[in-house]
Amino acid sequence: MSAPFRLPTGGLIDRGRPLGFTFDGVAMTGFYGDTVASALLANGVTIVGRSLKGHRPRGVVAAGVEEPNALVSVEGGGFFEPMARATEIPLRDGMRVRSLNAWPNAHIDLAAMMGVGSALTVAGFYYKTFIWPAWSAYEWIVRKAAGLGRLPRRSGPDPSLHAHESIDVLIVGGGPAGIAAAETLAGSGLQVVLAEARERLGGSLSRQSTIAGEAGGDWLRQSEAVLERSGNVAIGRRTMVAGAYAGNLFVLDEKDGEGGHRLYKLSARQVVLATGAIEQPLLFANNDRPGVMLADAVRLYLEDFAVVPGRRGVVVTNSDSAWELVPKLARAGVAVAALVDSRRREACRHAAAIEALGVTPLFEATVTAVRGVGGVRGVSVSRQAHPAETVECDFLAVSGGWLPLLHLAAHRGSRPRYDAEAGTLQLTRWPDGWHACGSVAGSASVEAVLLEGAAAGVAAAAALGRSVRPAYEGRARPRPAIQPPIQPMPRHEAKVWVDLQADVTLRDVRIAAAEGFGAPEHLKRYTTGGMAADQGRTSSLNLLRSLAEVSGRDMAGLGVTTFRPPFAGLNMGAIAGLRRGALHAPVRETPMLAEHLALEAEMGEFGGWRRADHYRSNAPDREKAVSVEMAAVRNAVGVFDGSPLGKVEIAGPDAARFVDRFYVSDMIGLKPGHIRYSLLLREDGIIFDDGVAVRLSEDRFLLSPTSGRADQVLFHLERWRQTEWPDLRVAIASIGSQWATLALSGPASRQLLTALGPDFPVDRESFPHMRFREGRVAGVPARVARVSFTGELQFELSVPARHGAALWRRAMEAGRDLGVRPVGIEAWLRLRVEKGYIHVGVDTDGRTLPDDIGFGAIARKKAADFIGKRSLDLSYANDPDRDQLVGLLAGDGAVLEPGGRILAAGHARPPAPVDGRVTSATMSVAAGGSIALAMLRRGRERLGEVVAIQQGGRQLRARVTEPVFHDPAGARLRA
Amino acid sequence: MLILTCPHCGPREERELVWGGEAGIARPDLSCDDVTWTDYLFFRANPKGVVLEQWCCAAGCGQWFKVARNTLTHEVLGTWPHAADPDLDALGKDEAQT
Repeated sequence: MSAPFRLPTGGLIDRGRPLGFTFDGVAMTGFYGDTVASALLANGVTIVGRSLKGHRPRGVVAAGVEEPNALVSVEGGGFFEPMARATEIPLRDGMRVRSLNAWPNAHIDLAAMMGVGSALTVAGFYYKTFIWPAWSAYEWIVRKAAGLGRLPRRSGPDPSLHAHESIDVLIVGGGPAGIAAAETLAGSGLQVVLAEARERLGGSLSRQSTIAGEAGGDWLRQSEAVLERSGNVAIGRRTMVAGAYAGNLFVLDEKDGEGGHRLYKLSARQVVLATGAIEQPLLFANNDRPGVMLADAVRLYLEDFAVVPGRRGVVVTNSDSAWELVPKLARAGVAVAALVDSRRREACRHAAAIEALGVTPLFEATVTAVRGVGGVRGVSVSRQAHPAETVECDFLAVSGGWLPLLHLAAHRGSRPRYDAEAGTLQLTRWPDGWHACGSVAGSASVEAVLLEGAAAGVAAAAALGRSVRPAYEGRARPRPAIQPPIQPMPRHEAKVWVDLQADVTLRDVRIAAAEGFGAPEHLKRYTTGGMAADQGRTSSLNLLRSLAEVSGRDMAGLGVTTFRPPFAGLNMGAIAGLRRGALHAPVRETPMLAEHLALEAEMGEFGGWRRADHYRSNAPDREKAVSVEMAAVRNAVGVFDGSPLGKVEIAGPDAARFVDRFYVSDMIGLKPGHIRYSLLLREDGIIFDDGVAVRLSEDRFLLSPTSGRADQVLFHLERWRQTEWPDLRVAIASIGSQWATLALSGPASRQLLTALGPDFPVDRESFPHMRFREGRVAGVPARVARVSFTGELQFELSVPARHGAALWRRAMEAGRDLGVRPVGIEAWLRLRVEKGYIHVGVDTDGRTLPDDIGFGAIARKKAADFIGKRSLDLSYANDPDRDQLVGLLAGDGAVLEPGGRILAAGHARPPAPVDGRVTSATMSVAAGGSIALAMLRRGRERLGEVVAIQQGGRQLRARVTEPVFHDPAGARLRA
Repeated sequence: MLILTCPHCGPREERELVWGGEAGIARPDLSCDDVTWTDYLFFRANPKGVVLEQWCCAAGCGQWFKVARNTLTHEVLGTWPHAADPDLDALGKDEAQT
């Protein structure tokens, strides 16, 4: 298929390299150098997508990052972009391009045919409609209708890379201003980056215009050559500066044109802002029809891509820039049916030149409506003192003035203001170290832009103590007096689109203002205007203008909404970089991993560690395996990999005083070789962690924080040592990764330890409960703690990490006749529930104090200060209505689950006040049924009471008990 | 993102550091009244302007240090080892607050 709207000559495309691609399955051709958008236009594709809410047909409007309509998914050699602007994607051979928000395709969209979307178009619709009976009733259908594009099923093969750099000068924008600044800095020895979002440098420079006494194309080639040779200016093409942050840190997204991204975090000592300006549309009825395009985009497609949007156009404007398009169209053989300008003839500088071309401009005139549905068939023009007339045409080039791209400066807190004379937003004060030049700073003529760019380069160098010669010198001609733009406001407000991508009409703006959402920030949120993926690039100014109009207020007094990063949408894969899959949140492994896998462990992630949940070698079914493992611990012996348990050593003459300040129990009186279980609190009294402390010797302690919280506890200890008690002579070291820990738990664990050959006695008298021994076991150095998490006789055996796997194998072998089983974490946690041992963060939360779990007496007994102690005297800590830890024994064969709500006394079913919650649950052999731990209001006074529990959608009954179901006297523990 | 100069490691990016709130919050002793204690727990000056903060070089040396930062502009006026007691007034705190 030939491309009917491609001119036979011209453009910057490589006609020797034709490319094939498909759009919604239809085969088309383009050339190397095309963007997807230019190729679509060349092939005569007018409808590229459907609008978000109303499913109206939409076409390409712009040629760059501001494009609101042409969102497509692109699939090419090994990559998939679910939502990209067709104007920014370089065309590649074999690309499969699909329209978004349309089914089966953009041309025939069923939703549009049925009018499905139209009811969703009114401002505030969501807020007004989905409030009864509940948002949840509507959520599924709204979610289905929301958003654009589809996520790929798999992530792409090449993850994006992140790079961090620090440079001297960042130049944002590769148009004439940025190039002039870069040329000025070329050879200066300063490290300079020139970032240009498009594939080519040049910005809005026309290749046919004259710049610095040369043809635009020649000038650009020479300047690029200067920069390439300079050795100190790096040019980043396809590189968007997405955000500016404190300390002049920037985020840059560099695309390789093949779907790959590289995300830079770049800090720059000086900044040259040469981002230019973006043309703004005008408001009239049906201004969203395919074929209505920005005038400068029409020029760019014509000059750079040799593509025309139609055969017969109308140009409508309120300023001079669009007038330059008319002779260019004429030269390309495109008829200009009319040039419509809202200004008076005297204000238009080019009037005579245009008239000489045979085009009769219509002054003090405006387009009121577009005719045609799937494309432009003509426009209605209204002129003072003339009857309305219809001009036939097949495209409309629109220019409503320019919006400077000062967004990055606004990211740094500079507040743009509306300037009535210029008819646009402006900044007068730039962030420190920034030098704005070119049209972002309000310049119009190309000479002025070059001079400003060069001056910005000189200023940036000077700020860094370097003196450089400006690449361009001289004086610009004085700029012509600006005529304030005239923006006639249209009627038929429901058909006037103010924001094309968010699908916001002038009527929506009126509704929002009438309903009290008349401040720009409110308007934005109520209508979603300016909030779509194009970040309101072509709508924010018209939204303000419309708001001023409908509310009869002065535009300058309205203020401007906040511009936040990113400047344009960033690909999620680019943000994730390498942090995906296994690298997303790296999981730690213990030295015994291979042993677990050999025993067919079902592995899972627990608190950042890869641990065995249960062992299929014990039973293939999870519940059965867990019961086998629990039974082994209760009746024989189980071996559990406790290596993730935190191990923090505290050493120094003040070690005891230091440790004592963290725990609710006395630690100064703890004897060497003894172990104490206790709690650490936050300063507000809330339980932060629990665990045992071992006194290794007079001046050394070993603390065992919870596995998942070991790093936080270490950080906590170290922070207090450095910032509050630097006078204490003490050192802290985390030794967790040096040791592998095996817990031998169960009545036969002493026999198993004996079989492993300890070089110290392990009988009941020599090695009682809560004691610690250092020696050798199985021939390797070992630290053995007699502590228990299960309620059974237990030895926790730590050996240097490299011996962990061998010791595990020996324990499994030596325990064969004792009935040893490997025990996974699920059985381990259920065993502790039966014993009534809490798991901090599961049974406790951000409100739980020591007394709530039965530690009040111990905390009160300790006279010395410790972190959190003073908070335990505050009134809320002594409220008798607090939740307290209790046990629950289910009745009627019910099975309790964590998360159940305990209803207030006297209530059998909701609605009812909630008196507490079930925090952990298990089936208990000892209790003969389903048991749970729970936090219950005034729980300790309510033992024996039967409570109703709302669990899922059902009501259960359970009896309140002591939390300990297994061996309450502790005889087995101390065996 | 801020770049702060750790007194021990040199300039470091914010993501390598951990913020620890205002520096110089005195911990009252046990005998204080409830109001003094809850003020210590919950109330901070949170100035619009220069504040002396604690930061930890968490991905580097692990040391806590002090930073004078303008909360309005993110300007960093200086960094010191934790033991130092810099004079904020000498750093133009009053001007920055206007």
